Amino acid sequence: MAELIFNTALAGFLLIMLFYSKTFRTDTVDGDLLKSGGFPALLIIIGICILAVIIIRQIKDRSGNNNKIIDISTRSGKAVLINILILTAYISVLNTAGYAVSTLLFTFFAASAMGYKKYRLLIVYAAAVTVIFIIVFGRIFYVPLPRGTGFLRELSYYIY
Amino acid sequence: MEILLQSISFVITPINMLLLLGSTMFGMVCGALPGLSSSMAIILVLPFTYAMNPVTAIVTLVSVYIGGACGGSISAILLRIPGTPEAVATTFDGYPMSIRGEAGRALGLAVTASSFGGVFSAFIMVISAPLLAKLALNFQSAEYFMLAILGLSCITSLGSKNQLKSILSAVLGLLFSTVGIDPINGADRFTFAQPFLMNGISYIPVMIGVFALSEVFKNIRDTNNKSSDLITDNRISLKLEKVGEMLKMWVTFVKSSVIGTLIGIIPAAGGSVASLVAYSEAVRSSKTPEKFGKGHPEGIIAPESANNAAVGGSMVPTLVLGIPGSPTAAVIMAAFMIHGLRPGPLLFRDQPILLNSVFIAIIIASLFLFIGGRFMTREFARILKLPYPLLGTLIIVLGTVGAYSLHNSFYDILIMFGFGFIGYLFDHFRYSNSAFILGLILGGIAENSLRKQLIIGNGSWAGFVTRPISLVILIITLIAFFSPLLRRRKAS
Repeated sequence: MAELIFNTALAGFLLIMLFYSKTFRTDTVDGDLLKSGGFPALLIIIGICILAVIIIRQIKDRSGNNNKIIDISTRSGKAVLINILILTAYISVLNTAGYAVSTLLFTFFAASAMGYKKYRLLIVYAAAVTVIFIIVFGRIFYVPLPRGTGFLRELSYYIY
Repeated sequence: MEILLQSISFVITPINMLLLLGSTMFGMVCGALPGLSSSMAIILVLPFTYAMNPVTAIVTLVSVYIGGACGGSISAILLRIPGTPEAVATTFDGYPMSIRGEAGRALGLAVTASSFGGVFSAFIMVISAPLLAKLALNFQSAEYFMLAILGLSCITSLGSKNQLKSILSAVLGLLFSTVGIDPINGADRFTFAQPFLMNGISYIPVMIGVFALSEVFKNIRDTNNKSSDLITDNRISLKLEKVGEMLKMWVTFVKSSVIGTLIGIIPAAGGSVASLVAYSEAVRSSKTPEKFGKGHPEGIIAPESANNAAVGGSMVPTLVLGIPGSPTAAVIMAAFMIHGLRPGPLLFRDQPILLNSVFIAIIIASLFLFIGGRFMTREFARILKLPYPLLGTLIIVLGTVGAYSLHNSFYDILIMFGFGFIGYLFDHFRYSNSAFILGLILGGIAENSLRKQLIIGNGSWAGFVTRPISLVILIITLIAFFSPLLRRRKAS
């Protein structure tokens, strides 16, 4: 059932994309038979046809992966979900807290959520990872890593 | 001969050898770090070459290029993060080998193949650079389109369990490649008024998402929250194959190097297309195509020989015609100009020593890959000994900074994050992430060249079959696409 839902959602996505591909500008140079929407529309139609065959076969054979995408009733499922949430939080605060603070916190919390229990060692590891990445990317390769806002931004100028 | 000997004496000096070794290793480090391309590595080294004599400067930059082309395979094999776009195809078989406990062997194969490809292309350049450069100019839109389709032809082998799902994954990849401004009439396509989508979806963040991020989530799920080593080989060191074993695969080495050199010569085709086409060809011509994608040694040899051969190949139009064969070659061309040299037909006549020095540098740097590979493997192996929670976190942090540093854009992190889920779902429902990436990389080339050829032919499709090179590639593509399907049908 889970796969059937996924495939149906995929078909819905392709239909929406097909609708959008019909709204593209059509003025173009002579000889451009496909215009801007032709190539994507062609791909979508091929995609829908293949998907239809996959869905029909699946219904007919009652095949497909019906395991839950993330089974939160198990420990590992919970760990996946928690890690997704931690990653979401990391990405959300990256521009506000800056690279150094957010990476330090992410490394610590993500590794603990994955099951690492030696917290003292983890603090050292998180600090080391953050420092190494700032040195390699921020200082050696001059990547303008996110600096955060306010006080953290000012502080970041002393580091990278 | 005298010029060649003079060039050798110019290049083989203690200082030059040290510089070559150092810059090859620097290139490998940059190649192994996702988001840092060979061109960026060369740009970083460029200021140091201002004070050098032109020969030393150019050979230094060329060796960074060689190192970068090989370095991408290290993270592709060990972490499933292709350090460079050229290493995408290496991930298909390299990572499964690592999982099987053959990481050292996979790295040994990658380094050997890269080295062979580099040396091979340098010899080809010495012998026939001007002739090949003229041949490359015959490549027009029809041939580019056929080349992209040839690169896609291996999708039926990549997802051997469910070929329909593999084809659908590639179609979805192709569809995502159409996002952004239409290069022909400037129409907004699937941008939903979001400025960050105007330039399209970069495939590096997508690759990091579908390969690395989804793999971390999958490992968290499958290891049941226990800390366990991802790679079963605890003592990873570069393991070189025995000569006898290598000789059994000599056809793949040579054929992929030829493909890499030829595609490298074609302006703007590049190492990523070369490696994918070489991989497709290796699958097509293999007696055991079903082993590809599951850790087949030839699945590493083909892309790695091709992408390093493409480095030498891309130098041909750069030096002979003054047309850069790849973005990285364009940076090297700029370095020529900084040193008062103008690449083009006259360079052959006026600077033969410099040209031969470049070829010799490619050979030496390709041999230095073994030293660099040994060092890099040892360092990366330390990372792999970490318990999985620490390694998984490190992969996510590296992937995030790699996606970000590509354009210094926060949106690339969001793209990586989004495609991480897509990769996870694809993996869960047995769609093919590799075919999806293949479609995304080759989609732009396929669509642009298809439409350009139609415009050139005033709406006629005949150009695809009336041009000899295009027709030959089309026939090879059809064989490559249908042979696994027919073989499967015959077997069942």
